Amino acid sequence: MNIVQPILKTENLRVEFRSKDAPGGVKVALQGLNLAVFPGEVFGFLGPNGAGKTTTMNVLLGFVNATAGDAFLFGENVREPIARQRIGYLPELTYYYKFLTAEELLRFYARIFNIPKAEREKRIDAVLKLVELDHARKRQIKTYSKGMQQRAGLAQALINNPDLLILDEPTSGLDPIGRMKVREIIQRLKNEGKTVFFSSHELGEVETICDRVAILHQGELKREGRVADIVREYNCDLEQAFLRIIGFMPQAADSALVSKAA
Amino acid sequence: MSAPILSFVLLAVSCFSLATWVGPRFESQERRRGEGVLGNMLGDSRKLFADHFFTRSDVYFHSGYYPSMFDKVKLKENHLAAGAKTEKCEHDHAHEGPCDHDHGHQETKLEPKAQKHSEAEHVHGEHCNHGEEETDFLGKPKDYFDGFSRNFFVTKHTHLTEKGTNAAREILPWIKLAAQLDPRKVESYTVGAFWLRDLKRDAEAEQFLREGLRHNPESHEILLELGRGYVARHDYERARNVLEMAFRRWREQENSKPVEEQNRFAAGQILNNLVLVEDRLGHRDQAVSWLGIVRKISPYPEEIDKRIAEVRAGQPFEAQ
Amino acid sequence: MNTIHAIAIVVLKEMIRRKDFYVLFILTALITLLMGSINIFNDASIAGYLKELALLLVWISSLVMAITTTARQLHAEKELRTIFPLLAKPVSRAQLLLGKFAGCWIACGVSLFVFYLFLGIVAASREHSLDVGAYTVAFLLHWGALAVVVAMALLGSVVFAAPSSNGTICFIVAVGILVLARHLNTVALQMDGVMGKITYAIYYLLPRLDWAFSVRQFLIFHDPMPGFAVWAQALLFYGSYSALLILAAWLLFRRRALTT
Repeated sequence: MNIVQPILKTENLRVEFRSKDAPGGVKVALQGLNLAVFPGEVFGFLGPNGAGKTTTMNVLLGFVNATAGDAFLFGENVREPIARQRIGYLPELTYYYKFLTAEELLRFYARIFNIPKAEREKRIDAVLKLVELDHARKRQIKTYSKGMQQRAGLAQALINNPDLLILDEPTSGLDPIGRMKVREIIQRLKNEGKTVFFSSHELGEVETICDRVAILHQGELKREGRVADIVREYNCDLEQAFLRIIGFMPQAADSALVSKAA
Repeated sequence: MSAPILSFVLLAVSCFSLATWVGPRFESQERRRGEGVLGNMLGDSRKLFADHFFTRSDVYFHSGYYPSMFDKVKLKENHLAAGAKTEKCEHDHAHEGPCDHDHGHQETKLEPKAQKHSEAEHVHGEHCNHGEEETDFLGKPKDYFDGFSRNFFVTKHTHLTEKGTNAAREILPWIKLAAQLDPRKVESYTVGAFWLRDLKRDAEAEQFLREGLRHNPESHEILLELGRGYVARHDYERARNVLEMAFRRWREQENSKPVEEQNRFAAGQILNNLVLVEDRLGHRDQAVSWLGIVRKISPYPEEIDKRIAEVRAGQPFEAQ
Repeated sequence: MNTIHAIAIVVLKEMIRRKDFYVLFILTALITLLMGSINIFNDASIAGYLKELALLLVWISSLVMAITTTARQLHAEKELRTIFPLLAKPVSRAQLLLGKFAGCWIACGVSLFVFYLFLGIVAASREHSLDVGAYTVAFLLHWGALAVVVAMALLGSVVFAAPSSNGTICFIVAVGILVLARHLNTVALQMDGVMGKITYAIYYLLPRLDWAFSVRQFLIFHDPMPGFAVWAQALLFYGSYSALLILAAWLLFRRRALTT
């Protein structure tokens, strides 16, 4: 029997930062996080602000070193650059080299992935068409609107045809049309068998498109599982379930919900 | 009174007050404008720059082979040490008899006077009596890096004149700059004119010296150089007029000084040229008269007597 | 290698599309041409002072370019957050540093080549001859020295938070080395005790940028340049020193946390 290996895995991940305000001068951003994301699923990474979502992503992407524990992408330790060969990353705030055109930016990133020249140009054309930036490909990024910059960011995340896409709040700051387009792209990637790992505060969207979610609070993993299972367990929508899991829902409101359901 | 009229009156009053404050300052600016843009920009520090650029011309004359300020400090310390050694040696002489090291350090005793003209002489191309130390201020390499570094800068004592005809023109921009920055620096004009004449640019040399005279009307050095130029062009009448003026200037400035402080070397040069000019013009008596004055100031009067006898005998006089 | 090459090309593109180089070149050219138009006793063939001035301006411009271009690289990447999508790719921090170094050094080389070309044209117009070999050696040594300056600024950009402080300190150190390094041993020998030993140690530890700076004299006074063995050793020294500085930068940078 073939056991499917997780495409993204963390083992007892612990991250501490030095902080003047924290007791003992150390702030614990993540406490023993164990996470697993499997191929082909759309995985939502949820939590209130300061929960540790960004820290987790920073460790996965090699920006920050874990104090203890390990993280793996495609079986490779995230400390090795090769672990990032098959991923695409879209940061929340999209800033790229303003003096480059979109085409030059994609060509730059494509070279980093060692994509052969012929295939490189095809990929650039395909990705620019996908994010609808074909008409502006020769303009410098400093002339782009915010929406166009966001799409350029999505384009660079897709340039290497990644098997795993890590998106940090992909719909943040977008208008409804932009959000719809991002959802469509995520759905398309899922249909192609890609894995998507993203964080978001838009729980309505998460409920619609995610297969599984993990809910983080104060550096601890509170709940991980299928969206349908969580919704069924708490007998409410994902947003309500989220609030209860992180302990935001007061007791009286909790019982009112139960009686309402009954 | 309405607000606009009041504002106008207040404005007029403040303008008038400002004018009384700005006026005198503007007038003093007008006076200073005579010193030129550089003078206004740099103020008194332009003299420092002028000295620096004049030294730069000497650096160029030596094709870059020149002691840095650190080398000069080292040289000064060595000279002081040598001076002390010489004095000790003489003291030993007096009490114990001859010592066994050489007396090349005797030059240090002559230094104060020699240094007064050594710079001009040096740039004039005449070799001064530098001790071996000064022409080889680098010395032996102090370490490996020092030795290797010497591949990257000039380490041979050469003169621009050895690099071909007209190579010496490269020093002229620095001399011109020094003269512009400090028009009262006489050496700029005399040295510049010397090299301009060497480069066969007599007209420019004369123009430069006349410019120097405008700023330094009392300078006998500039007049001497002008006279030399006329002598070189065989214009002896003009040369005589200028050289006589030079000697008059010299007397005005130097006669009041004690004998040991007088610049007799300069007087000797002026008088030698006057003797030459008079000799060429056929005025032997006048030439002998000038030689008589030279005899009074020369440390070698018997040599001058020989020259007087030669002139009287009709032999052509050669200036030294 | 592809990654380093790609990062270097981006740095080069940035230099071409920014105005810095053009401003410096135009300033240098203007000042040189202005000084060249001065009448020096009606002699149009005097070239020494012009070469000296032009070479000084080239050195100042090249130092400004090298230091300002390099000092802002990592800081701008962090400030503008472009470092995150970059390091999210299979790029190691060593490759990032090497790519930035290569890009800045090549950018300096390109601009230096233009400066020396201009200088050669100006000199040839006055002297009616040009020793291409001598200019080539001077250019190579200058470019080698700039490698050390770029590496120093790169290390500074890891150590110092602001590019302005990094730039200032690098400039002071570079100019200090150019002017004083050769004489530091003389100064050390005149000092007593521990201070003399410390000064001598500094003398040995300093990168000798003054070697490249001093060969200007050979260009000005038409003296023969050092032989191949000598300047090759100097270039090797500059390369080794640059490698050491980049290694130090990498050791500091590799564990530094970058938070989004």
